[in-house]
Amino acid sequence: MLLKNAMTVGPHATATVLSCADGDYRIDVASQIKAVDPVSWNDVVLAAGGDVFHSYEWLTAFEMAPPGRFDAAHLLSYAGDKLVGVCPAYLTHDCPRLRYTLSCGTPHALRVDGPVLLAHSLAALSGGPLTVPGHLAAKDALADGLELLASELGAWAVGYANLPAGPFGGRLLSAGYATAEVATRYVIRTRWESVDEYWASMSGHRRTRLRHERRKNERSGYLIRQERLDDDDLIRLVHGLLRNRGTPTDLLPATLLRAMNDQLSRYERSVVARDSSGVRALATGYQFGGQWALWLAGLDTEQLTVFEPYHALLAYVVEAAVRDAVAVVNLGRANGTVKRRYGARPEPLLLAIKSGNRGYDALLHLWCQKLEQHHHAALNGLETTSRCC
Amino acid sequence: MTARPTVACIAGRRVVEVLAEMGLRTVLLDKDIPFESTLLADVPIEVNLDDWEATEAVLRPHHELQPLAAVLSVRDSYVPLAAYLAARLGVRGLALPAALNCGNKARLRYVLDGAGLPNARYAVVDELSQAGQAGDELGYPLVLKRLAGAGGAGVRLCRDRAELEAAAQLLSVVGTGIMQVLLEEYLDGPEFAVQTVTIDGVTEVVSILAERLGPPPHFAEVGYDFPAGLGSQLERTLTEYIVAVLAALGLDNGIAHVQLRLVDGVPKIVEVNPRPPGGRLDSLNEVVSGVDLVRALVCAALGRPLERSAPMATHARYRCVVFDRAGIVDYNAAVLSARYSDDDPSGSLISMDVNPGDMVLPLGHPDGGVYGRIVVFGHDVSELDEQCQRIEATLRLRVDSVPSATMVAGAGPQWW
Repeated sequence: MLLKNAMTVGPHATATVLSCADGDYRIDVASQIKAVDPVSWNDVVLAAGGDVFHSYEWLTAFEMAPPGRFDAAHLLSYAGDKLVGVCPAYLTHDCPRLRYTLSCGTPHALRVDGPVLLAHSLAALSGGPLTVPGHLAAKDALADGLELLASELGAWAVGYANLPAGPFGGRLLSAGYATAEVATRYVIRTRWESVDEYWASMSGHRRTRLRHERRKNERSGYLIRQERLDDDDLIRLVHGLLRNRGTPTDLLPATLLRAMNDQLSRYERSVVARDSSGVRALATGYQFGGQWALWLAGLDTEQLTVFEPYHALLAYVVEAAVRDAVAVVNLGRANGTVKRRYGARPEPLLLAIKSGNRGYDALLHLWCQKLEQHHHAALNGLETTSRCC
Repeated sequence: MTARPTVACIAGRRVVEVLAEMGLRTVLLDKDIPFESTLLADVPIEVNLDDWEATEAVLRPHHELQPLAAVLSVRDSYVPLAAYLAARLGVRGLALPAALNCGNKARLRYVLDGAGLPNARYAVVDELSQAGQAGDELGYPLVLKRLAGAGGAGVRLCRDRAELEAAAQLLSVVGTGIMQVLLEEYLDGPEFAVQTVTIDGVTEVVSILAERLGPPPHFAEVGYDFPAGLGSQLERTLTEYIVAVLAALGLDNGIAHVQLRLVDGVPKIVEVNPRPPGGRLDSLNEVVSGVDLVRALVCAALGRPLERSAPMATHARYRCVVFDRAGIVDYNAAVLSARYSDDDPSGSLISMDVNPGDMVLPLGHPDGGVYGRIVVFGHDVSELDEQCQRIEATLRLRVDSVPSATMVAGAGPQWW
């Protein structure tokens, strides 16, 4: 149980707004990520096994060039003076991804009548609270804090975006959140000592097929390598692919891509396919701790109509991850059929949302059922209107 | 206008009868309403129940004309819709999150994990090609289940990867490999069926029955015993666990038929259904607890105190009629008794789902199953034994070309 203590959130400040009734944890709220100590924040994310999408730098870039209108309201959980948990969150006034999600199967009577306090963004490949080992209960404090904050901020609803399925999701189901699997990320948890062992773990038939695909890419003259792209190439390739797949580019505006390219440079581990004339395809990736996450794909759509070097890029990433003993490779959303062949396993990402009004919540539950059906139909190739991002 | 409180119920003839007995005005919603139910219900409404918004649109004007007190259903498939309508109209009923959490086996497992309650290890699998690897990681033996749907349909014990892949194949969409299944660790221990009533968040366990299961791999429920044979300590452990589970699921106003197993003394949920049990188990529950679960559901929905009468018996056996081979069934239909007699303290209920001359299939057959139920009850075990022998003699159940039909056995002598 959390009690309201004070409400003094202001620019450039971390303000204590919530405190735990039993005194175990204090919850602070930061109105921008720059008000937080970057080292302490990232230490918690790393200790909790989080990835780049919770990192100080990803959030900084997001706030520098938000794809929509968001007010940061990050929750920090302290045991004494020690930061033990974080939950990035935004009071979301306008978000193109949320707008699109709301256009899928929304009940007629559902009117989202105000901002949603979301932890934290549908653009990220993970969301929700993270706590250091030994402080699991701080997650409950953060969750209670988020609800209280939503009420303080006048949010129409409170929720979590792209929350990995697990016990915390179960807690939200208990608490009456409407939930839907809205995305699926494909993850390889590396368990091979060597690249040879990785390939040997596949059936002979599959190994032969994948190697054949790779050789075909190589014969086409592509050179696959890790490379950091400049802003212009990054924007050109990412937007090119979005347009090619009928997806609006306002999901990933050029300003945001520039900010990400700048802020996340220290973690960047992007892989490109080049031919003699330039970069033809891209998988932007970031390694944060033991997790390498491929976030965005890009394609030179003036030269290629299909993502020809896809297999070669995937094979390169998996081999590099095994060689460098990267524990987890997150291959991102979409193209699950191909990613599964490389050993990736699907991991559901949930949207969980609650308005606190019984009648509206019933509509949110109904919406979530339809949203999940829509997502599964898209995953299984039964839905043709799905976008690529 | 009438002073009688109005309850909307979705499908279910028995619940309409009970609502009438309780003096309540009934709005009955169903896709197709049988003629006799249209006579029983005050307002019968045929509507497409698959479209929740359309159903709400049809019901709302009735609510505005004469306010509903509650919405409920006893059918698995309509429990969430009833909860949705109750929430949308702002009247009493089961909480929608509870209905959804109980109705999906993966959600149930997530909730138990989230609450830190004892739980089976599990994995959700959505593609046939992933089943083997997920099974290997979980370990064998394991149980394969569909994510949605109650009862044992599709439930199968798999002792190794080959059995799992063969069973999973049957549950996948032909040609695509798409599936929605749950793999669960095999809970090796005795199984119990527990009936509960929850009113305004306070749960009472009204009966605990020991379950008898058919042979693997299908785990068909073939019998129940009361008392369950638990000591007082285990019974307390089990009761506390179930109260915590139902609270975690969000069950606030309703009844539940809960199945669980005791593994090394630790209870672990198999399934939670927020409706009365099937077969004649509701009758057995009423005999030993004095609580009619359908009436209890109405009380919970309305927020009234639980109605109960004195239990009729301290001991009971429930046996399902199943067969060990295919054939033509024959029996003495004159001994069937649909309802127990209030003046018969040691009684029996005998019901059959097939008529003499019908074809029956063995328990292990995909289309086979339970073909009848026999409930005997009294105040001591010897009474039950005598009744069993009497019924066996008078029912004269047999299948042609089969020496003797198999009525799955109780603890006592001979129902095989």
